[in-house]
Amino acid sequence: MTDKKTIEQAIAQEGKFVSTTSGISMYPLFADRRDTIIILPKTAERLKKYDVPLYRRGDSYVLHRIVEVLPDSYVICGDNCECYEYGIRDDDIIGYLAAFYRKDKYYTVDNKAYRAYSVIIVHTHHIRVFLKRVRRKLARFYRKIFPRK
Amino acid sequence: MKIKEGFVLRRVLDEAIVIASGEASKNFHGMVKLNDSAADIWGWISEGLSESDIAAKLAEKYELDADKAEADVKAMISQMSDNGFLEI
Repeated sequence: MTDKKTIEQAIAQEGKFVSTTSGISMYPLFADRRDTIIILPKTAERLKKYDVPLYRRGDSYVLHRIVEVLPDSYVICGDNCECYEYGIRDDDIIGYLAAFYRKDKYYTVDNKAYRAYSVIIVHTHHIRVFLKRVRRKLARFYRKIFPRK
Repeated sequence: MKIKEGFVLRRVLDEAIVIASGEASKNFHGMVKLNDSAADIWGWISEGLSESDIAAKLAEKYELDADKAEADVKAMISQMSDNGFLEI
């Protein structure tokens, strides 16, 4: 916000928060400074698995996906992240992703293709992390054999 | 006259909102709400129409007289320019 409103204030006043994505933790869904997110305020109802809450982590805001709903908290992970975050409570959550523009195409979170993507990205987490680690190890091994000059 | 690269008009829940993307989003963090006619003017500028063509389209769409439409377009362009959304 130009007058330095917090996101919480923007949501309270406008009933929504619209912003450009920042960072790569939700790649390949969102790219850095390319896509537009539309966040609605949280309701009394608890969020569900695959929902994407916006929450506070210290001074920063995070938009990551719920991979598991626990009785008192959520387990959350960015689509491009390797580690799960535990202990995110309803009180930490400001709002949830309701819709987005990916490049210039508009999607709501009810979109079938998006729903399918959400399920796939959550259920392939372990294999994707494994493959990333293998790739990193191979890259390190390659650099040992062929060091950069 | 054209919209500066990085500023995009998004339709969100029946509202027209301008935000920055790409490099422009490093310096502009706000969202600007536009009413229907302002969103139309923004869209027509994006299409590359001239100021007089935009005024004519605005007059036709909103049943305004030509002078009022021209004044509205001028005011909108001036505001957009002041806010750094335009390359003239």
